[in-house]
Amino acid sequence: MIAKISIAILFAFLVIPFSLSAGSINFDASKFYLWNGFESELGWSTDDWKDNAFVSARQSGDFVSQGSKSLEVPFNFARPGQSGMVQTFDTGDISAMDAVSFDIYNSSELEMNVCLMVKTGPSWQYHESKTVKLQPGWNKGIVFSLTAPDYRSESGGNEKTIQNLNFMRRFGLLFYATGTGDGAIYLDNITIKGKHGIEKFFPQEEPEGLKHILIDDFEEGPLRWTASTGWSCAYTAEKASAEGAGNAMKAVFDLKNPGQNAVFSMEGGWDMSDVYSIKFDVYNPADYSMSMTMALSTGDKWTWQESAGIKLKKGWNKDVTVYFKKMNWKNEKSGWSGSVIPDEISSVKRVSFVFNPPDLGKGYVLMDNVTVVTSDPSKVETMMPVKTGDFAFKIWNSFEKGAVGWEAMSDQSGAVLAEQARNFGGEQARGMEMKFSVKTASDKAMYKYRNRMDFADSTGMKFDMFNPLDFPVKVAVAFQTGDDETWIETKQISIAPGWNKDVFIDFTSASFKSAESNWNFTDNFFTRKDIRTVILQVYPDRPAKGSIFMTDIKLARRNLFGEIGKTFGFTLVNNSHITVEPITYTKWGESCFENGTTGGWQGAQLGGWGAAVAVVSPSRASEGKNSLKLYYKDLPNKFGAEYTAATSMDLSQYDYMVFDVYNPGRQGKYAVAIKMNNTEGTWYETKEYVLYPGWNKNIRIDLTGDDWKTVSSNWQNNITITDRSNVKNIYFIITKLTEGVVYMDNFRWGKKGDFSITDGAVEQDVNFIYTPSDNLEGAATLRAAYYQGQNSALDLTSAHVIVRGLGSELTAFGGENCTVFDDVFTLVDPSTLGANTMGISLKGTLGPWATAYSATGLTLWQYDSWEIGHSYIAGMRLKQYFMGTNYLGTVLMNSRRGYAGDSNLLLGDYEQGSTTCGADMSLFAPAGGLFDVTVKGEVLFNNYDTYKPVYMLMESPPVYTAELLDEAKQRMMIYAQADMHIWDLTLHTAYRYMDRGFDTTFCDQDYKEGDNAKIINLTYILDNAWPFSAMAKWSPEWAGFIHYTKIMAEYDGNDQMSDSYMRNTYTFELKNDPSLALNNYDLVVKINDEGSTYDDAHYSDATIRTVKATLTTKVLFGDRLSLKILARNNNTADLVWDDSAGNYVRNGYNELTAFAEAGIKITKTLKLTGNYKYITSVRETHSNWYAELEEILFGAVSLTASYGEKPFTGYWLDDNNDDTITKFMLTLRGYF
Amino acid sequence: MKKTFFTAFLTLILAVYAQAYRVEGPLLKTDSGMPVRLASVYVHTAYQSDSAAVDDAFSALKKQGIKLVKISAAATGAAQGSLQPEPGRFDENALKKLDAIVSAAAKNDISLIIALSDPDSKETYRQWAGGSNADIFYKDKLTRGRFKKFITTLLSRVNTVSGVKYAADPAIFAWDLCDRADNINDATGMSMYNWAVEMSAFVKSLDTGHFIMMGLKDGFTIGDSVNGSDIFLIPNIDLAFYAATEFSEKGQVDALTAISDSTKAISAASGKPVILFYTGKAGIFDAAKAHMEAGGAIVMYNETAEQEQLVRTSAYTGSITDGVPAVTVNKVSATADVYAASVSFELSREAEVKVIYGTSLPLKQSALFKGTAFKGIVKIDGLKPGSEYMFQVMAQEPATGASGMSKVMKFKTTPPKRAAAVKFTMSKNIITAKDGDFYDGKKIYRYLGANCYYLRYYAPGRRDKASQSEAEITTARRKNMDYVLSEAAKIGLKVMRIGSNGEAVTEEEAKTADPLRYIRIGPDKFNEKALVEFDHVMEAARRNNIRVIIHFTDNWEYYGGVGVYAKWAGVSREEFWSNEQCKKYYKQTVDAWVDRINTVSGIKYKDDPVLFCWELCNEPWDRNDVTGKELARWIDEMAGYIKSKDPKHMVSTGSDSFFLKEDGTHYSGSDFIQDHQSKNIDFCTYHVYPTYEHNRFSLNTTKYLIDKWVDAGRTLGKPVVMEEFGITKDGEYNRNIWIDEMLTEFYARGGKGVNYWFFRDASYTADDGFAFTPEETETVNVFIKHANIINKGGY
Repeated sequence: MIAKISIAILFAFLVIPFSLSAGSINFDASKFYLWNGFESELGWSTDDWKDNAFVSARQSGDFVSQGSKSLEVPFNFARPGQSGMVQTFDTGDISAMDAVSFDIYNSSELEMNVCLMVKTGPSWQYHESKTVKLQPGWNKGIVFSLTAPDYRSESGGNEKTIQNLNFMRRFGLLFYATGTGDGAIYLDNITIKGKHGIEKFFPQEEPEGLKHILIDDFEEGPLRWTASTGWSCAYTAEKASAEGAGNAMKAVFDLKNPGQNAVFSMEGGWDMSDVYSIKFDVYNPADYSMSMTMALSTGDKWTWQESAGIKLKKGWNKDVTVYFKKMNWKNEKSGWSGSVIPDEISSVKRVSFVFNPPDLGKGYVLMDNVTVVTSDPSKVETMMPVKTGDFAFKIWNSFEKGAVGWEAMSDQSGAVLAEQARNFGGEQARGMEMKFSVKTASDKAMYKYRNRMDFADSTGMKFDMFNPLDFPVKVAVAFQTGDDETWIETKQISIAPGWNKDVFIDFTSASFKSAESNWNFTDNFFTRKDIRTVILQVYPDRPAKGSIFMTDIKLARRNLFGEIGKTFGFTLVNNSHITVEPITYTKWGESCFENGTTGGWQGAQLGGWGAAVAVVSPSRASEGKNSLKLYYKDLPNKFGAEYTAATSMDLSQYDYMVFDVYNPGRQGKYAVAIKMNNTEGTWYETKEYVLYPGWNKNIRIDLTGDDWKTVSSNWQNNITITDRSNVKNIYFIITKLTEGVVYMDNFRWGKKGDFSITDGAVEQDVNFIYTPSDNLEGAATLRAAYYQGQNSALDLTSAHVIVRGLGSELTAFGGENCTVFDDVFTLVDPSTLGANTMGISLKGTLGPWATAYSATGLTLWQYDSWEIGHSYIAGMRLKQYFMGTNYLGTVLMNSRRGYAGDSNLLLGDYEQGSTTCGADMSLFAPAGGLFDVTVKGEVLFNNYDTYKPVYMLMESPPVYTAELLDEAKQRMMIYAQADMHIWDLTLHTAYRYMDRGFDTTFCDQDYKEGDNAKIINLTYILDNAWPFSAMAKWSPEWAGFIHYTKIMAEYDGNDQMSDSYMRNTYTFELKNDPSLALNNYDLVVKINDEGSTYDDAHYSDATIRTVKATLTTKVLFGDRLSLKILARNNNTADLVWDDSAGNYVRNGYNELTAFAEAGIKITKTLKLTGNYKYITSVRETHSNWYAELEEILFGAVSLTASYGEKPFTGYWLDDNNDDTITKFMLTLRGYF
Repeated sequence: MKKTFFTAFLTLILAVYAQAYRVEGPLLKTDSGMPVRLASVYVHTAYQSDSAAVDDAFSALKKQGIKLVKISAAATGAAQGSLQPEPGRFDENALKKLDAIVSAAAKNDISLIIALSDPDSKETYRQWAGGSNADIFYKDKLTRGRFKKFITTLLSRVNTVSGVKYAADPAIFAWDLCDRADNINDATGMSMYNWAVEMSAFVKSLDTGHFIMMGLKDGFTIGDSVNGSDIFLIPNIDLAFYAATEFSEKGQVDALTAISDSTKAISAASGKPVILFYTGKAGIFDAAKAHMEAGGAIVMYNETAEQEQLVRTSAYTGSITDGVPAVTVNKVSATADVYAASVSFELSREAEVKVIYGTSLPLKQSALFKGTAFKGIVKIDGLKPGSEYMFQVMAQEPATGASGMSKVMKFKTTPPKRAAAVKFTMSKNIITAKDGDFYDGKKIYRYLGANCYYLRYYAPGRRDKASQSEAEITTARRKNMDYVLSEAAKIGLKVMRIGSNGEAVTEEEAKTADPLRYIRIGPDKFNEKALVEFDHVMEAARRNNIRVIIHFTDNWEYYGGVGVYAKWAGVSREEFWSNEQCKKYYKQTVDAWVDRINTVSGIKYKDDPVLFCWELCNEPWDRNDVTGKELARWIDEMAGYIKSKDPKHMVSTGSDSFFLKEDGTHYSGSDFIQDHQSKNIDFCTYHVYPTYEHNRFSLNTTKYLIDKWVDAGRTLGKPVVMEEFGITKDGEYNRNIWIDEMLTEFYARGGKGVNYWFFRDASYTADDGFAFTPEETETVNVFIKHANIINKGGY
């Protein structure tokens, strides 16, 4: 059905407009229609005619019979018999023309004869009409038939008809004077008569209401045009002052091979179908004139379209104009003859100025006042520079507070290192130096900053860059967002030598490229709420070594209040949705806890579960005034709330159970179980689902689903509850957490039937910001929300105050999901914290010694926000940098957690606590550019103050998180890694040893309890290896496709994860650069040998081998249609109990997954996406349809209508194997 | 003070009674040589008034002491009192009225300045022409003709009252070519300037006795290319003129200072008496005083000016001996040779001297005399040979600023002489190539030559004389072959590349063009007539000791080319290089040439030493294979085939020759290296047009390219021929220097042969901008210079 609807929509959008455009003008074959009135362009010339009495042709307003211009052709008939010729070339097929008429003014006293002379066909056949006598003065309406048999050929006669009218090479008027003398001919109002088909010769009249949009006067902001090095001799593009013209772009070229052109481009994605012309000024300092053209790269193949040649005289050439509607463009389709208008003009990817430098070596031109003349400025508005004056700014990173937090991505680029630059300048004292060493002109250097960042309340980013090189470089900023780490990237910005202040990235315009926009610069940056990585990409455009500096990165917000707005302002973020499903809900009254009782609920403590207590609470009620508050604690991290029916419950009348949970702690998991009122007490349990920090509204348990598990399913989630009529207990089970509290409320029963609104919410955040100076920042977020069927909310959700100075930064923060603190030492991963945190952090650099320090104290795991929690973390870190990014560091951390809500954090009893101390180091050794090595190491020693202390875990890079240790009081952790880069080869080795007792289960699915891991990862960039090198030579498209294709082999030997468990993983991956390629692909084969080595009679098969092969690719079909495909075969196994064998046996099977998604951009702002996911194995088969239609409104608001449940579409498919559900959802999100 | 005025008044009276004036530099003098200052009134309404009223007005002016009056004779079209109601039709009544006005002036001892045109008449002329701009009056030649007819009518008219011809009437002081002349549509100002040059000369041709002036509306401001002083420097314009309304907002003192400064500046720049037409508020008398004390000659007012002030002004002559007298420029003469001239001068006193010169007005080039002197010679270099130059000597005394100037004079540079060319002969050897050199027998051979594509079919005069008989045409054609080749030989051009291909798809197509245009008509027919004509070309070459390069076909379609072969074979053009049927057809063409016996001499082509080499194709491109490999295979195969038929003659490619880019491709599919690597190819060719539209290489870039080609040929061990090169003549490039430098670079680097594109005789006028003729002596001399070196065995 969805497919049919999609096809219907496609038809509506694609076919109907074409049908409408097939209309025709009211054409009269007996009338003459204007062909050329010489209003905007000549088209006719006096070139290439022997002994021509006409020496030149120029536009004139002197003698005009049509419009306001004519063609003036001065002549000098110096001797008898001399002829004068004025003509146009290569008009193509004029077979539809029957006759042509001219108005001619003879500005002389000479009597002349004129005839039509045409040359046609491949051999330029000559045809000359009978002559017509011209009188001095006006001679209007001189008509020549093109079909009459009265033409003379080169071989004589006067009775021929014109041959090959469909291949017109030369079409001109030939004048013979009856005497000698000079004067001028004025030609105007050339009209044609004929059949349908002559319309293509009608001039494109300049539409009324054309607007002149100055897209670049090069006065403000960074330079957006870049030199296309490598494939042209363009060298640099930089700003320069032009005498009397303010700033201009200095386009520098370096001609080494004569004939090579110099291309200077601006990339984007623009619909230029309403552009009439582009005008600009060019200064040519060369001794000779220079040729130039303008080129457009259009369509999904970036097809090159080139304008007619323009001759630039020495000096300023003002108002050089390129007409977009003139049939004098050339492209491959036209055989490179200037006879067409540019193709696919509605999808212009790149606008280029193309120069033909005359001299070897370096030269330049100046460009200024680039102006687009169009009837619809909105279509090209993104060509205009952003005026940063409309914004106010707050500091994001001024590099004052110790380590820069950025690191060189030297395994994928020519980045060498990123380090703090002291005494650097900028608004404050410090900045970041990014060193690079790139080997080819197409290579880049990438530097990343990893953290969780929410830029939703910002409308842009600004930074200053200093380029100490003698050539400009280009930079682009990429972001990886969300769990999928989705790549989105800005346009390239040219960074000229010297300071480049106020480089600005506008978050609000549709000027980003991503896979979503088919790598056109038309995407909106709506995912900026959840940024995981910021990547700065530097393109030196040549093999080069050097550094570039960056400082004062600031985030922008709209300034709506003038001067006040510079220090005080706000932004708005809206998240709203409404869901309609064929389900009706009824309240489960007693489980809404409004009568002050727990209504049959209590803390559950089954065998092996931790303790839990349930009470009625006035806090976090999602409906009414009360909620059920569940305390839970203790090992072995499985807790629950239990509902016991008075007798039994008949749930067969219901299809769903729905409820809300507030989790003030960190992320965990939950499941729901039902226990039957039978003698066996049959237990049915769902899969585990993620329990997010904060609100988890509308948790819905499908009572009729087929993914329950019980003893009879070998505890595999693949059965349906056979009889729900006799239920005794319902359990809400929390796993993967050790201690805390959750609030539950608003239990409802759902029944399939009529459509109703099952979920609806409007969340409006107002982000207040106060930045009186760069040294002080205060911010708060106020949320007003309405939830359908639930309580409304008006909360101050988060706030922070930052004081900067003396190279340090003091931050106080608090609130729900507060991610403000910028933990550059990665002391704590905020994602592992709970919903509510409060704390204070101080970071900075001590004097000139490059000693970075950090101290953070925070409370967490609150019952409610805005209260001091009864758990806290205090940490200090000291790093002494030397010789760049090398450092030696120490860490000291203390944590305590009390059970009681009123416990004194510092002095009172606590049940868990630990003190960690350790040292770390990083050494970087570049070996003369041949290769470089980075060695990092860390040793941590834990002393547990209590029986059940807290913490921590290493990843690469080190990230600490709150975790549980076992009884042992002292634990050691060692981590070491070494990275080596040799040309295109990267070798990464890592060793990690953790004493058993580190529980790392939920930090990374790949980590188990404690390990002794040995990792070897070998990555090789294949670009220069056959066949990739050959493919790159075949075509630029292939070169783009295979760029940064890398093959990776990894051995991850976790040979000791516990006494009884081990794992070895072998991974092979082939993928191309996700940021560059036109079509992305990623092929991964992963072999995992995992299992227990514990020799127990219950286990017949110690380890299980799983082999997973996954191919993901995104294929583009033009700009509008994209196809994403994923195919995976997972050869896996279960350990299942074999009654006959009396032990667990390996039960192997294949699981096939297919996922396909098609996206079509119906308009610039409207996109239809549909996907289908199919998973099948001997155990289960699932299929899921999903479709959504998204419209971008005002460039800042996204409105989405969807059907079904959106499956996980990230890099890896997860095990979310749900089937299609009937659900319609309207979602609105907007950033203002 | 009063006494001074009285004395001056008497002086004026005496002066104007003389009634005849002459101009000496910036001074207006009476015939007796007495400098005068004149006050004048512009009587705008004279032509609208009856004769009695005009008489009264003149009488009144006379009483006020006014002796110079300006009137208008510009009324045209529908204007009141129109002298020319329609183009070429003159109103006798209106003319008689003018007669009466002129007579009334004479009667009242008043001299007249008569305006011949004005803004209103300009508009009428524009309307008559149907033009769109006011300046049509200046620009349109037809209109200029109409205006000249009016001038002729007026100046040749005999006054019906006085019986005096206008051109000789002493009552007329000056003709004003155009009253309130302005310039609207031409930012350069040149159209008005050229008009003034043309019209002042025309009036002067009809009337040498009266002064000519141009009543500019906006003073100095005319256009980007010319200004007011350029107009006043026009030789036939006798008086300078400017109009002043109000010079300063600050008051009278500033206004008068401005007048004084302007008068001095215009006087110095033009060297002619200056008329001030004043309508400002500074006060007539004070303005006149400022003007005259600054050296101004005439001050003019509107007829509405205050009577008392007019009287005072007319009586004021100022101190005409005040100030520094002008520097007189005497004994000016010039001598010129081909490229330079010497201008000698003598001055009345020591001054700086500048000579302004040019081939047309205004004279914008200048040469300075170093320092100051009473007399001296100014050297002018860089002149065009055989050209007539106008020049004017301008002097200025540094200390005082006093200036003077000569009249506009002329000199003519002499035409260049053709250099002597070394004669050469042709051996009976067939030229060969070995180890990077050409050999004529055992002697190393180098050459300078040219291209000439039309000799086979072109007959001079054919187009002009449609009635020519076939025999006459043939005679003319063959005569022209001899002429062109003999002229080439006189320059020292030893090898000519002559158009030798021509393919018509069908007979029908062949009929549409010259019968000799095609060598091959359809795949099955060779055009024997055309081949016979080429036989004659060969014989003409033999007679002139010139060798000939023959190319079998052309990549381009001007004469058919490879595209026609592809059509014959029914394949796409791109397949020509690989299609077997195309290759078969091509080999047939090779056979036809190689096996041919010259119908004139009886010599087989393959034995003929006149044939320098066979050439595969003009500028072969194979866009089907941008790596160049396919074309190289074709070249190897076809050259091998030719060698198998004619092992004696050299074979080359005709390639324009590119170099592959770094990625191993070139869009032409032609690569210099691969094209010439074949053992069957004897030497390398390339074509280069550095000044062509899409190249526009500098000379340095061009030399770099030449070096690259020659060096690459040396690497291949084969001689390199610059088989086509051409420099445009569009003025931006000095063609002769470019040719000279390119030839020097090429031969000095080790190049072996050159064919310039192209050499033509003057009758063949289809010039693509590159060609030169035997008459272009300067260019010919460059070729002779290099041919002489080559033909003497140099380089």
